Amino acid sequence: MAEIQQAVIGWGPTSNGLGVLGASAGWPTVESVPWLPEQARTFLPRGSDAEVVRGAEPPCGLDAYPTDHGTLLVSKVYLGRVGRPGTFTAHCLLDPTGHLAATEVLDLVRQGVLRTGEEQPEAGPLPVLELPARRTRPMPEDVRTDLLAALIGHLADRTPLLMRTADRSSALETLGGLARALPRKVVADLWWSNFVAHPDEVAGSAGPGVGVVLAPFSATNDFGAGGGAAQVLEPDAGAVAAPDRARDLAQSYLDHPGRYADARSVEEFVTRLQALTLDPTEPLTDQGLDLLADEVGPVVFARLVTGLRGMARLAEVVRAGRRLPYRELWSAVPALPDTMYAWFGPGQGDPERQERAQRIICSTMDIRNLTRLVARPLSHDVGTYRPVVANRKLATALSRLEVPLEAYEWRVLTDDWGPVVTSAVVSWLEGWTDPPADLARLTEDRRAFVAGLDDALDQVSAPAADVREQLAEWPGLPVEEWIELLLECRNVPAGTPLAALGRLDRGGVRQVLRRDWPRLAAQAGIPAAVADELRVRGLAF
Amino acid sequence: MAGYLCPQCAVHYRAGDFTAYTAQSEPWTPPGLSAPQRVARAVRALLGATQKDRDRVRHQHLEELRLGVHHRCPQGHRMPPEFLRRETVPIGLIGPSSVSKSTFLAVLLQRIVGMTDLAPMGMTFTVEEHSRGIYQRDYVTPLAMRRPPEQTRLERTAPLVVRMHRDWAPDDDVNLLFFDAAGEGYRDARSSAELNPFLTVMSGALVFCSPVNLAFGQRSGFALPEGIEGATAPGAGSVVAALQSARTVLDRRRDPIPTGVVIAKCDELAPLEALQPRPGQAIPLDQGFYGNEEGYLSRQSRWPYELLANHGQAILAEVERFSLLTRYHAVSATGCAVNQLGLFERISPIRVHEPLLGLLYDRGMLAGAEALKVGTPQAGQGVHHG
Repeated sequence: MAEIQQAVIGWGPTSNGLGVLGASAGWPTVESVPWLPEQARTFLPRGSDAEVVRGAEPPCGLDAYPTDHGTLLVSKVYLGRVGRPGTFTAHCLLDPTGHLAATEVLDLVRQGVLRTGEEQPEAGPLPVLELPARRTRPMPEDVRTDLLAALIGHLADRTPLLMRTADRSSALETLGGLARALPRKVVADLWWSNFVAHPDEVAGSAGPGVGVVLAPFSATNDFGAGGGAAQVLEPDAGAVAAPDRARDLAQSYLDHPGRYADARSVEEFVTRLQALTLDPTEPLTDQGLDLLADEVGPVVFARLVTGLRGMARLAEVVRAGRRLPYRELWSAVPALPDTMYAWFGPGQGDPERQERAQRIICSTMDIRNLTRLVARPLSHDVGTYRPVVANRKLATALSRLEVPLEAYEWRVLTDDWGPVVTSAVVSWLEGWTDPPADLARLTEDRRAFVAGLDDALDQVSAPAADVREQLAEWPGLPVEEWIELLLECRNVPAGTPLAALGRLDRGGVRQVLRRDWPRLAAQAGIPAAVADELRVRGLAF
Repeated sequence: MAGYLCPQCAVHYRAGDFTAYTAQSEPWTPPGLSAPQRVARAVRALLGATQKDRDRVRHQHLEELRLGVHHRCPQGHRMPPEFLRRETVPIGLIGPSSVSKSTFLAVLLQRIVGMTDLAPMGMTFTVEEHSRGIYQRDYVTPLAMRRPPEQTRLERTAPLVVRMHRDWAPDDDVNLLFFDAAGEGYRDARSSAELNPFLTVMSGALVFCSPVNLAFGQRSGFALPEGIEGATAPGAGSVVAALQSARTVLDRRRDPIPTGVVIAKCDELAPLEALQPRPGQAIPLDQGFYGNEEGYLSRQSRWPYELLANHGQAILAEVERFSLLTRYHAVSATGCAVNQLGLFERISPIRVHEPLLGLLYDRGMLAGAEALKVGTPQAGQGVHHG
């Protein structure tokens, strides 16, 4: 049972102005006088009395506000028809525990607890109410999705959602539906009002909440001091527009409302929603990563990897040390196989995307994790398709597994000279493929390169003349440097360095010949005597 | 005048603090003058402006109007047109709740603006452009329906600005800025400061009380209406509290603030007034007032002062602490209370102009009007009889 304090506020017969006419014993005091809540000081804006006299029915104000003293529920009734124009009475209920929320206001009205009669309130002490505490689960499915999206969008922006409806009872129902759609503590953290007197002011400064704008009583500010025109939604006119991001957030919430049911405040609710609904255009925050570490599940993961920046998002998660359950998610997330196939499958035909995807994934992991998390699962798929290897690190990891090299489509070489490079070089020298793109990188380790090239040349079965031509034409290194390397290799076909000289101009050729003629001649199989004779007599260099 | 008053932030700023913008919110600066032009202008100012000079000024003024040039204070508030050309005189209505401050203001404005009651005295009033909405909504419409103005909310209310034109000073119009806050806001100094930012800058105060704030003994020959007599009447305490909280807010003000103490709803005191030598007498609203202002105002102050001296000594004492430049008025905004339907049977104001006239006189704003009294009737006679 919750103990609820109550107070009646209005104008007393002693002309002391607006004040607390009666309150229960536990009603808070401020500077020794009963607390007069800000929310109970005003009701209809000035000028409303003329509308009432003209026949417009004054609204009944039902508000719920979080305050420093707890959750405050206010029921306001206009008394201008029976008393002085502009006066009203406010019946306030205060839940010091802060558990009551807008959802309770409607019930309390139905139960007759909140006073809604158009009569002068009596003064005197009031009893403390006892209301049973209830637990309810959020029911977002009962409210229109577009309205929920609009509300969540406003919560994310920390601005109020203002609605205008023609029918007051339907407005109340809509308000109740929205209140029931959100987690209980989030509802208690928002303000709710079925009548907003000054929409412009509220839009500018009231913070997150939900309010209803009623014609002709809701007014704009005086003296041009408003904070700008308020954006007021009209649910009666059809679907309410909401930004894409808000719709995504709402969809996340609708997918798993239970996941957010224990949110303790608007701030936490929105943060969790935003963290678990990944925006392809925004980087993930540390807070979001922390939440992902605990809560990443199939749905979240699907959003993670299927967005425009899915790969970058994945990389962020991996970089933060989160373990991604590829294997378990493979069947749980329908989009995942397709996405993974797009990154590694040969049929997708987007080498740039594949290269980028693999680079992002691999740059976040060391070789051990890469082997464990990516390479090994990928190696299991070679029976299904022939994965493309577009990242050197991944290639290195894959090359260490016991899988035939032919199972992959190698678009890059491994870090070091190994079977993959040998295979690529052999394929090139035999004329099946173009020269490997980053073969020149391997020349940094000169000894390994020479050994590897010798090994590859051993395996080449093409005619020596063809091999000589391929090697001589390779543009990966400057000619003189390439010739130096070729001269060090044992298995290079005779005359290959001399053939490579053909890519130089006459001056360059002469310079190389003067310096290295003996070695070039020896590699080409020219006897020393002949070589000397050619040098002195024939060539005169 | 310390500067120009922003009617929204209630702060005086120097002219240079304001920034001018066009209607498209683009910064605007007046066309610059070369050094010879400035010299020529100074010489002409000494020798007297020519027609060409006046044409140039008019042309520039028209250009500013065409562009919608307006000024904004350093806080970004848009100043009403012409506010930087005229003095602004804030007048505060001080008093507890339900002493008919708003009703008085509504009726006064209706009389001086709508019905031009003071035109025979050479004064005409128009509601400033930005205040017209408030004027129409809060004051004109309720009176047109014979309803009292709505209860003023316990919130910061917008001021109402009226432009006063005086025939004897045609180029020197004045803005009268009335601010009317909820009576509950005067309960303590903190509320007063929060809800009535104009208190600290006001140039004139109207302090309100009503018969329910006075104490009538058995032998006074008068009793309050049934229902609010005796122990249920609010008494003088709320008025004293309002004055004290306003005085606390004004603690740093050293200049005397012309103050009019208004005993409102004086129609309820008609039996007491009937005992006076000349009951119901009011100041004539014509130029006969000029020349003997002090005499008229002092005569009108006599009975209300006696009322307070006999039945509201606490109020009187607090008023004297509040200001040394004080006059007393007994007025009734409507001349009657509302009937059972919440409507006024008729609206017959009693002496509602006098508090304003007293303030204007004490502020020295009627200086020079006597010349009008000498000149105009003779000219009028010439027109009719010459």
